[in-house]
Amino acid sequence: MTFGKSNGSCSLRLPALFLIWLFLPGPAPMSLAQSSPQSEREAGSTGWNVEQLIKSLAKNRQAEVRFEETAFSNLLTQPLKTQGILRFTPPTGLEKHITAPHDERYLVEGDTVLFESKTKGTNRTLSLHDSPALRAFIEAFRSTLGNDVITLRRFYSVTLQGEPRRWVLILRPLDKAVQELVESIRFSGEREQVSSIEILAPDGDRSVMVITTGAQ
Amino acid sequence: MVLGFGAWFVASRTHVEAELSRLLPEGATPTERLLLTELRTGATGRLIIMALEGEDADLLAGASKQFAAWMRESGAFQYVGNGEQAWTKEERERLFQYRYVLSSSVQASTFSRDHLRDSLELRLSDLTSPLSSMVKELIPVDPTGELIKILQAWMTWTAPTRHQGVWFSSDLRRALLLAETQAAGFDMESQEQLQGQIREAFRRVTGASTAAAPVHLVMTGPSIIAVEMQQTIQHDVWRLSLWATLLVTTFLFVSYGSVSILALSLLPLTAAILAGIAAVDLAFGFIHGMTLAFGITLLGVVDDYPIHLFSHLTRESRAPAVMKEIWPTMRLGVVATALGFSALLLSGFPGLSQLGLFAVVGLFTAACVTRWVLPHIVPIGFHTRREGLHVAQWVDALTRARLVVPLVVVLAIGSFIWSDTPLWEQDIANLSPISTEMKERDQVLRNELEVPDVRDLIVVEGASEEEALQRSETLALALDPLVEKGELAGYDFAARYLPSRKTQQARQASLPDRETLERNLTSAMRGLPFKSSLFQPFLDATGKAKTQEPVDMQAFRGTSLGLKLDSLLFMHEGRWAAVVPLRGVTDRQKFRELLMPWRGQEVSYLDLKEESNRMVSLYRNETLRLLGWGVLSIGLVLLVGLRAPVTVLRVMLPIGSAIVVVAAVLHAVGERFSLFHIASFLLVIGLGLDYALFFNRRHGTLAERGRTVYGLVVCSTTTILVFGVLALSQIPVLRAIGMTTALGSLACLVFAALLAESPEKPFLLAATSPK
Repeated sequence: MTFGKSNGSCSLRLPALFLIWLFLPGPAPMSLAQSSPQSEREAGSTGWNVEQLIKSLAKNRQAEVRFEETAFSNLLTQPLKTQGILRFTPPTGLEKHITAPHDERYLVEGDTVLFESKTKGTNRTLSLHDSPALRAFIEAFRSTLGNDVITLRRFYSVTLQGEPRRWVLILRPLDKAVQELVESIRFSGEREQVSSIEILAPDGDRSVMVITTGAQ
Repeated sequence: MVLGFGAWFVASRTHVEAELSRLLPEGATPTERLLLTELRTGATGRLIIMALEGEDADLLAGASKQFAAWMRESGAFQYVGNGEQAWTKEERERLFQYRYVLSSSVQASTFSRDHLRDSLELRLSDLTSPLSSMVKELIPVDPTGELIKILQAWMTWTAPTRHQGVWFSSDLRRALLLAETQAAGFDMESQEQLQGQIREAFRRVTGASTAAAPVHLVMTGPSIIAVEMQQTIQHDVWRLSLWATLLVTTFLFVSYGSVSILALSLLPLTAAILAGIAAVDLAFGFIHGMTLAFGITLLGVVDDYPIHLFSHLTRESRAPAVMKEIWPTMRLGVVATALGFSALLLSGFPGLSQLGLFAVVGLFTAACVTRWVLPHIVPIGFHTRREGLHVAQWVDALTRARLVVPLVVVLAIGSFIWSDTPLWEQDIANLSPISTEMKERDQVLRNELEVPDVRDLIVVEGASEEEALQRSETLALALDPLVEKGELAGYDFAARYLPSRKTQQARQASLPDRETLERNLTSAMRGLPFKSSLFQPFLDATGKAKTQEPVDMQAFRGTSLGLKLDSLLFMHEGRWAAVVPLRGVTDRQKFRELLMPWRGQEVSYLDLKEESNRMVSLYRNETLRLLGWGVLSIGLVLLVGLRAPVTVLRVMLPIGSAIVVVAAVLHAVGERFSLFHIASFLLVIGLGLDYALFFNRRHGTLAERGRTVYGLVVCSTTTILVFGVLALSQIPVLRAIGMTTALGSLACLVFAALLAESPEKPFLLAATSPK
């Protein structure tokens, strides 16, 4: 348990909390690539690197994909599953729309985030200026899928493992405040397609988002 | 010269009171008094808003942090906010610890099986968020989400944009800071000193960066504006008095051609000012800066006394003899003017009473000095080089055109009737010397920090903190429907952050005992994937909350919330007041009616703008009324002194005409009348009386009349020079006084000349100069 047993002395992260009630469940991500049969082209190329991967992801990105997400938490006896749609409208728009089991939407546009939950009856807008942590979190997806390596490297140390045919892109936050929330974000994929995104928290909790299909 | 002296005295006397509110009536009702006191001494007046302006946002953020650190360390501030950690760790823990008494959603049903089930399902959805690590630590202790509900309810204040953790304007060109000083807002000396220290610290903080990317400090807030206003006035007064002194000195020197006479003419005025200060200090224990400034202005009339004496001196005559000859006329003028001024003495307003006492004592002192001291020290053989014969001839010629006076008066009255310019200045804001630039800056920064200037508010009183809180909680129940109906955009009140003990205890009572809660929880958890013993901390926390001591104001001391509470709930003269600032009152009249049922329950609605305007109007009407009484008593004294109603009329008529005409002229150029115009009219009456009496004095020879007229022209020119310079001021109050008096002096002189006794009928004046 991460939480102190004595409730009076727990150290609360108030700034984070202010953010959360605006933003409750999870914010974030975006879209991905799919398709594109240019496959083998660069397979054996020795110059294959982060820049090239991100460039090809952007080139082959689809506007809309479906996802299935599984959250593992040490508070729970079994994981939680959600489904939804990710949309990416370059260069700055990003939307995560959870459709089941509840309806919730996070819409990033430029420097603002809109949080909308029918279940909770919430509809709020938040400025990214107010939360560097949230900004960093969003850039993990926006920069990766928007071919903006410079911004990405401002917030994360970026490592690329594997080969063009099967790769894992690992982002580790540089900022201390973000490190408290996120240990790493892992994009896994084959060629120009992202197949899953895994977010690891420092306390061992994690969520795995699997990209199932491209929406029509 | 008059002003020069004023400035010198203001500067040299340390116990001159600078606080304007001490001159204002103390408020008709206890509520108003309380409010005025709070506005002066409370948190509202101690607020300083600061902005660091520049192009480089990162640089500004760094400067803001360093600057705030200095301010926190200086010990001069109760609170300093720049967006960095609004709450210390202890404060956050305190807030969390008290969540069950602070959250308005806590009631018995909150802990029912069904409600708990709903809450748990919401917590599950929280955990599906990729950022769940931010909320998850709260879930075991606070599954019903009370802390988040509290923060949501308190979020009436939308915090400004943040960059690198500090507050910024939305365009990121201003880093914003908010501070509450230890020193009271009206304590001008401390505030001025503090502002100097702030600027000094700012220079140190930004010293290195200024060359490449300049950073500017901008400040606003009641005390900043007050200090700046004082400096503006002082600067203006100094500059103008320098000019006035120069002009008058030159003029008197040209008129009399003697330096010693010049010096002597200042003697009565100096004596008058000193005596006035001493008298007021003795009677009131303090003298207000405004009394001094206005008092010296009113005493401008005594500068005429030595001029009369000097003008009547001839090569042959001896000063004491001349003095004896003009004394009856001068004495009558002194007594009548003093009576006019003493009307002020009887008013209930401390400011006007001070002014009255100052002027009356000064007047008599100056007269005595002129009568008994001056004649004996005037250089023997001094006389004006000019006989003023030609001046007398002009005046005699003027009397033939006396019909001009009624004509002009009729025209003036006509212009009043046909004009649609409002007669009175209704908006106190227009009288304030605050520059538009300063007002705009204040508005901009207040908007960016979302600390608006409150116009409408409700004051709820109680014998204790608890009673005031309880009453405001009841009031809130009545205000909520208005917010829903859109008649009110919103309101704020202390009990939102600090519920009354009664409410806190009710919430404690609604917490179920451990067994019940455990039973409900176990039942609610059935079928949900939470680990079985996960909510142990929640059970412990509610058990503890049930028996803990209620929260009081101490819990929030030194935080931004504490700052807010201090301004919303405070003690005054042993009673507690909860202030409820209102936002967006659509229809004030309707709102007043809606609150009618609350009257008599120590709940009062105030429109601050209207309230202060009303107070100024009250002050003005009182002065106007006193002016009437003054004129009446002057008439009576003249009747006794002159013993001829026709002559009284002859003396009063030019003054009355002058006032009507001057008022019409000012009105025609778009001036709206305020208290300050009226006070100036009182001075005009004093001056006019002097002119008219001397004009109607029995003149022996043409040469004698020439000397009289010459003296009067010198007097009037001096006044016009001093006040004409004042009329050039940018400060509305000074301009009002300057224009009114300069024009009044001119009109009085001209009308007095026009309506003076024609030389052909000298017998009418027999009464003027009793043997």
